[in-house]
Amino acid sequence: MVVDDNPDIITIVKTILEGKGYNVLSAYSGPELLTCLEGQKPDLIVLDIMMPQMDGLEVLTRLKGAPDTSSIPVILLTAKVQYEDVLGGYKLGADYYITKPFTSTQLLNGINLLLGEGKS
Amino acid sequence: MATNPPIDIPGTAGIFEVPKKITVLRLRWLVVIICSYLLITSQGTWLAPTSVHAFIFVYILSNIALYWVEDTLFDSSYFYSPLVIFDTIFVTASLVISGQVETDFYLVYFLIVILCTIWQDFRGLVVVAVLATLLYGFFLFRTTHQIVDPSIYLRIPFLFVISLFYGYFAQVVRVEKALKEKAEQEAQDMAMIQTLSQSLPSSLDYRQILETLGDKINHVVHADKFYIFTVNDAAHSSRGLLFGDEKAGEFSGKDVDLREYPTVQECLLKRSPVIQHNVHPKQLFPGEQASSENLVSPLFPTSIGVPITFRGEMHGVILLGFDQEDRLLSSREIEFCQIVAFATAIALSNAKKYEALQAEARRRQIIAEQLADANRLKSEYLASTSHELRTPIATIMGYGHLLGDGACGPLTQEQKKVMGRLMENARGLLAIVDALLDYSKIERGEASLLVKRDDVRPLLDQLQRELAPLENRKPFKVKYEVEEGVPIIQTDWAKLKSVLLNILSNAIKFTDQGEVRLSVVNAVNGNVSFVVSDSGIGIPKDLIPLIFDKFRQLDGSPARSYEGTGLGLTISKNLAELIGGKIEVESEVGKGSTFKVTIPVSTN
Repeated sequence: MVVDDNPDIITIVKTILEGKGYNVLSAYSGPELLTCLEGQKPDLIVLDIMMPQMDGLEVLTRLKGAPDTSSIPVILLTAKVQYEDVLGGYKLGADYYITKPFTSTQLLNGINLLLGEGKS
Repeated sequence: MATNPPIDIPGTAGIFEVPKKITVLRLRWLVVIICSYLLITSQGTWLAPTSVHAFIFVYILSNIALYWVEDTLFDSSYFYSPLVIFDTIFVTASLVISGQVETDFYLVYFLIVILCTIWQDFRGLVVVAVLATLLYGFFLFRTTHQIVDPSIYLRIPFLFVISLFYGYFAQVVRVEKALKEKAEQEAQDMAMIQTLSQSLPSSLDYRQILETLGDKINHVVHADKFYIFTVNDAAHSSRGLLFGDEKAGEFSGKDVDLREYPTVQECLLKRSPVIQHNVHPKQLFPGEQASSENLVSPLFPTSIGVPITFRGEMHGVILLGFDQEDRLLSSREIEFCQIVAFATAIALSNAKKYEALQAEARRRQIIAEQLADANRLKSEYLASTSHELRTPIATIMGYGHLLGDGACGPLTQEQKKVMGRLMENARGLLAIVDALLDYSKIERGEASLLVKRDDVRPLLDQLQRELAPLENRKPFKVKYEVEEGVPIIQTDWAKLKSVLLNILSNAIKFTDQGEVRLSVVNAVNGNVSFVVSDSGIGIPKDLIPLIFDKFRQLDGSPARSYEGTGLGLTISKNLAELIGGKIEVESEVGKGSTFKVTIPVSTN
C-alpha cells in the first residue's frame, strides 16, 4: 500500500512494485489510508511525510499505536532528508527510511529487507 | 618654622607675608618700648622706681616667653583673646601708673581700642588712627596755647602703636573667621552637590528631580514658591515644560511657551541669575490665570531666576518666589541657588545622555532582532524550498528510471542517450537543492561536528573514487600526494571531505588540459594544509574576494559555460570554518588557481 499526496509518486511506486508482481493499493492522504485499513491489512505501507490534512509522522504514530496495524511494516518515503528527520522517523517506529528522489533499487531493497525476497 | 596656611584675603597680602608670630612679637616690642618710656619718664610721680622697673621687666619677660610658644598657636583666634586682654590691662595699667591719665587722653585711647575691634580693615584703621592722633595732637596744642610738657607728646606715637597693635589682632581674628566660614561653606556646598547627585535619579523623572530640588532649596533658602522650567531643545529654547511645587499649584510638566515668561526668558538670555522685586505674579506667570488664586500675596516681593546650565548647555531655569516683604537675598543664598542649579544641570545632562543611550541601545537591539528574524526566515525558506523541490525531482527521476529500465517498453539507442542527459540534469538540479539545504543548515548553526582521529589516506581514496566519474571526459587524472610527516588528524572528516570534493570538482570542471593536484602538507602552528592546484582558467584578482559570495559565478567569464550552483564555495568556506580551518585562494587568469584549505591537526 502506498500513501502520498503526489499522484506521480504513487504511479512510480506502483509501476516499480507491480513490475515485481506486487499488488499495490494507494491512498492520497492519511485519513484515506486509515479508512482503507478498516477493511484490509496490507503486507507493507510506503508512507510520505509531508502531506496535507495529516502529517505522515502522525499517521505513523497512529498505525504503530493501534494493535490491528502495529505489525504492518512501514517504509517512510520522503523529501525530508536531514539526519534529524531520518532519526525522528525511526524513533516513531518506521521500519525503513528512503529519501526522495529514490531509485527502484532502493525501494526494492527496502521491501525485500522487510518482507523477504520474492514474496508477493 | 612651620609654614602658615596662605591667607587669601584681598588687600592684606603685604602684611601677612611675615609670619604671624614675628608680627605679634615685633608689635609687642613696640608696645613694651613705648610703655617703658612712658613709665620711666614719669618716674616718681606716685610709684617707686623699683616697682616701675619690675613692671617693665615682667612685660619684657612676657614677650620673650612668647618666643617659645608654638607657631601654630598664633594661628588660633583663641590664643589672641587672652593676649589682647592681658595687653589691654598692661597698657592701661602703665598709663595709670605713669600718671599720664587725663580724661581727654583716655577717651582717645578707648576710641582707638573700640575702632580697632569694630573696624575690620587694617589699612583703613591705620589711617583713622593716624588721623585721630594727629587731630588729638592738634587740639592739644590749640587748647593749651603753650609749650606743654614734652612727655605729653609721647601720647601721640603711643596711640599710633596701640592702634597698630589692636588693628593687627582685629584683622587676624577677622581673617580666621572668614577662612573658617569659607571652609564651612565649601564643605556645605560639596555635601550639597554630593547629596544632590546621589538623590537625583538617573532616569529622566522630572517629578522626582523636582521634589529633591524643592527639599534642598527650601532647607536653606526657604522659598515660598518653587518652579522649574525645562527647555525642550537647547538650541531652540522657545518651548519647555513647567513644573511647580504643591504650594504653587502643581504644574507637573505643563507644556508652555517660555517666551511668555519674561523672567525666565531674561535668565535664559543672560545665562546668569536674575533677581526681581515686587513683581506681580501675572507678570511672572502670564499664562497661569488659575495659579494666581493660589498665590498668598498679590505681589511677589522677591523672585529669583537661576539658569540651569552645564558646559554651556541650557537645560532650564529654577524660579523661586518669596512672599516675605523686603526679603533680601544674600550673595550666599544666590550662590547656593546657583550650586543647586548646577547640580541639577549635571543630573539633567546625565539623565538626557542616559536616555539617548538607552534609546540607541533599544534601536540597535530591534534592528539586530529584525536581522536575525530575516536571516532565520531566509534559512527556513531555503530549507522548505529545498524540501518542496525534492518531490518534483523525485517524480522526474522516478519516471526517468522507469523509462530507462524499459518499464514502459524498450528504448532506442538515441532515446537512451536523451534519457541519460535528462537524468544527468536532474541530478544536477538535485545537487543544487542539496546545496541549498546544506547552506540553510549551516546558517541556522545546526551543523554539528562528528570528530574522529584518522590518517589522511582513506580520505584521499574516497575522494579519488567519488571524483572518478568527473575525470572521465578530461585528458588527465587528479594527482594525490601526502608530504612526509603529516600526522594523524582529529577532525570532522565528512565536512573536510565535502570541502575538498567541492574544490576538487570545481578544479576538474574548470580545467581542460594540464593537471589537477591535491597535496597534503604540514603548515605552521601544527596545522595541515590541503592544497588543490589546477592549470585551469583561473580567477581574475579583483574577483577572488567575491567567489565565496552566495550565488555568484564569475559573470562574463568562460565560467558561465560550466555547470555549478554558485553555492558550493560559500558552503565550503562555512564548513572549513566549522572545523576550525580556513580557505585561501591564489589564482592567475589563464594559468590556474590554487585553493589552500588549512585545518588544525586537532579539532574538538
